[in-house]
Amino acid sequence: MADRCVDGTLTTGTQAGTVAGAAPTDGEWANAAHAEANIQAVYDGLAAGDTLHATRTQTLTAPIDIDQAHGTAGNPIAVLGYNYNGGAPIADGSKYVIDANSTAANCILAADKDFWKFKNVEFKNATADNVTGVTNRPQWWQFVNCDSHNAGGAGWGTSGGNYYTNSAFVLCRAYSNGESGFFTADSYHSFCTAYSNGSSSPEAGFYGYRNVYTACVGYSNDHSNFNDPVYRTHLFNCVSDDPVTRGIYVKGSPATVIGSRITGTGTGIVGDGSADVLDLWNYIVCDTAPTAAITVDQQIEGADTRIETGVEGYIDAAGGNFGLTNDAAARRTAVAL
Amino acid sequence: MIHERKLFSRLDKVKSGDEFVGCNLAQAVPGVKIFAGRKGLKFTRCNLARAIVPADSVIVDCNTTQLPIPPDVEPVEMVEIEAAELASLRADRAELKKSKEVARG
Repeated sequence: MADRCVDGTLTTGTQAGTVAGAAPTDGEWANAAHAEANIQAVYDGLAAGDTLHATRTQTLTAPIDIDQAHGTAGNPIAVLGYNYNGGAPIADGSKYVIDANSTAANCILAADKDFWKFKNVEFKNATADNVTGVTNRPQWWQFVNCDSHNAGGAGWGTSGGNYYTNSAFVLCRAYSNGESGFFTADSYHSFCTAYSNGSSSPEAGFYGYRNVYTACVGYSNDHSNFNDPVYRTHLFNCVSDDPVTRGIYVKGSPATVIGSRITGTGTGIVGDGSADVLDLWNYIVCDTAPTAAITVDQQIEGADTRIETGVEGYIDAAGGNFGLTNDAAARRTAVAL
Repeated sequence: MIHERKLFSRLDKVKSGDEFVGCNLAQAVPGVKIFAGRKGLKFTRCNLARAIVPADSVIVDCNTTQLPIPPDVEPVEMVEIEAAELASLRADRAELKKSKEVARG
């Protein structure tokens, strides 16, 4: 097994795209695998510890099947996106694009294979979900600095029959997807953003079961920005703004929503009538109501921690910048111990 | 007028000649006609899944699929069996099988 490199725009030839060192040389990029003929074979050839270095745009006619090999905890199989940079690609955070072109059902269809890692990759235009699982739930995956948008279904979803579980999403964005942005379970989401998702059910920016969200932003999603319709959810230092109906939906107990900013249209935190929510040190100013149909504990030692007045203070919410101005209420809040 | 990063449910007052950039106009079922009667619309990087826009529209880098999406999977609680418990269950099954074989002679 070996590391490989692929240039998504090359459409003829049979070069192997073999990479000898830690990263491809310019000469190896010049001999990159020709993606149209080889793309499935390239993915099929990866084994634990291998890295696929990839650049430019891969246009699909069928999903890329991840059905040959597992990575391992210490040696995941990695797909790393590069800036083409005029033929001398560099890994600067620019994304390798996998475009399903309104033709392929998915960009990635993972068949019960675990421990893969995608970094600097953009998925778009699948007829169903851009990224999904089949046969069994893909587990222990990492997505870092990845975008998933304009899917007919979800950005990350379950149209293949299984959703991602026990996985990590860092600095990822899901937007303008027909269903939810992220449909995951038992996973960690950090510094992720979901907006303008969910014209069809399930409609939400972040949707799923028993997930943890840290420093994530959901805004302008249909129905809810964050939605766990069955179990529990945990949010810390997140932003929910301008959902169509509700910011955060929780069902299972205990749910925690801490140090977050819940604003704009709709209701802030909504439950199913029985959910018990630890609602602590949140700024909640919503058009309809702060909460509904939940049991809320917003007090610590008899003191109410919730803030319901003051300047909202987003730098540019319309432009997607939810950083705070200096005069924003609750920008810094003392926490009594 | 340019509509940018808008959800379909939040669009109103769409007029002929309007432009849509990064909007989510996906529909739940295939073949839904949207913005009927308007002319000269332009869609760039929009999600037009299962939507039908006026015939004279300009479409640039959009998802134009008309395929329906499969139903979503509902959660199933996972039952984890400890290794020792699993070994015990296997031993019980082997013993049961052996006793049946003895009974059959």
